[in-house]
Amino acid sequence: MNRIKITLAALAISTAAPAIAQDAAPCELHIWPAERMASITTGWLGGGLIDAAIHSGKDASNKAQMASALDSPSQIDALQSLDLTTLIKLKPGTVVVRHETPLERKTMNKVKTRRSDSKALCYRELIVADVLYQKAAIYGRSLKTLFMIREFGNDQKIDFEYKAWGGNGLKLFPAKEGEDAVAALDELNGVFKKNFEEYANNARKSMTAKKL
Amino acid sequence: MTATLVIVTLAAIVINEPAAVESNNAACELHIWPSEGLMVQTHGMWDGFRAGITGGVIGGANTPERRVERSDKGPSMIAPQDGDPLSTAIQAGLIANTSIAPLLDLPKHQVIVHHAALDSRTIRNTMGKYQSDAGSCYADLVVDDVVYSREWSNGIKLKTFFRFRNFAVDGSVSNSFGTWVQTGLKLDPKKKPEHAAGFETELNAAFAKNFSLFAISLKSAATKAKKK
Repeated sequence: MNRIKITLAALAISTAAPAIAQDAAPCELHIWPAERMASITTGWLGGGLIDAAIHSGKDASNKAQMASALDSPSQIDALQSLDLTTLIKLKPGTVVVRHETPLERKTMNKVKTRRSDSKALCYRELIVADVLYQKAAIYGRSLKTLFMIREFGNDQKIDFEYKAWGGNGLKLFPAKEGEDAVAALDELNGVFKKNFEEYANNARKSMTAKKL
Repeated sequence: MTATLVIVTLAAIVINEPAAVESNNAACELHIWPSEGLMVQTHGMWDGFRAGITGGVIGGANTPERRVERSDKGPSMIAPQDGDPLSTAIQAGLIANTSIAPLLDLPKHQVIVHHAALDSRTIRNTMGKYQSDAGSCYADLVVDDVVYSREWSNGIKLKTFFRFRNFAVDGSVSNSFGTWVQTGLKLDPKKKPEHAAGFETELNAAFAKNFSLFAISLKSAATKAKKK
């Protein structure tokens, strides 16, 4: 619950109605960024130990650049810049709650209750679990992101959960040492958003199937 | 006489500015911001490894996504702590003691070192000057990130990511360049406690050296741009 910020855009809608009935309280979407960046470069050796040794320095530099371009505020800003209401079928007036401190990754699948103290009757979580840069000799470069949505009812029980990767190709990232890297870092941000849109398309299908 | 007094007064204001370091020409300013402190990352043997002796058939089934998803590893980067080496304050001090303006071919710019780091949102989203009340002759250099990186098979590196912008008199950006550079570190107090004594000195020297490396990259990029 450290450093939580409530977005005021949606809040304005809820405060406009002076007497809000209990069952009309705004829904909440809590967002957590990822704390882990991974970079896996595989050459023609196919990704074994020798390959890993050869690309170790490059992968370490990639991770550092990813952590810079996609730090916690950047991840949440990127998600909030999208039309979340449409993308993940949020109820109108949903309040977005930002959690700038990532969840401990190893607890992500183990904890099955709400990850915040919120008692909202209508409550959803959007968790960015992992960010992975991958370069493969044949398939080229891509950024993949693992997202998870969990929806709770008026309790601590998960009513709906959808976890999946979104992934798209990269053209500029990673910049080599000493070369202009700003455009490459901006590209990471753009592809991160595309990954979420891809994930959200699949999540909506799953929601429809579950009649949400 | 009046004019002389005005100049003297202005100079005093500049010198009294807590972050002012070099004062060559009051008309032009180079503002420099340190980073939020020293980030630490470790890239281990298994981080870039798929499976099988060369990845091979087993590696094909064991995709990186699945392996990352299954991993119980913690954060890839450890955020700076109070009292860490290369804290924001230490960086500001080192920047103040390094002659940076001539490195960037801005020998007449007065260098103003800021003591607090800019937050990442400001760095990313501010199209104009970070120091909005600065004069028309203005440039800025931001130390975006400083990373102590322990890399399997590659040693220990101090990586610095810089962002530089020079502004034209009309307030538009005339030159913008950002890149990362790195310097290898030899001392490793984690493995050899006897290295602890010289550790911070080496780290600080590497931080200063990265400014020179960045300046070389900036000049190289400018030369390439002119050829195009």
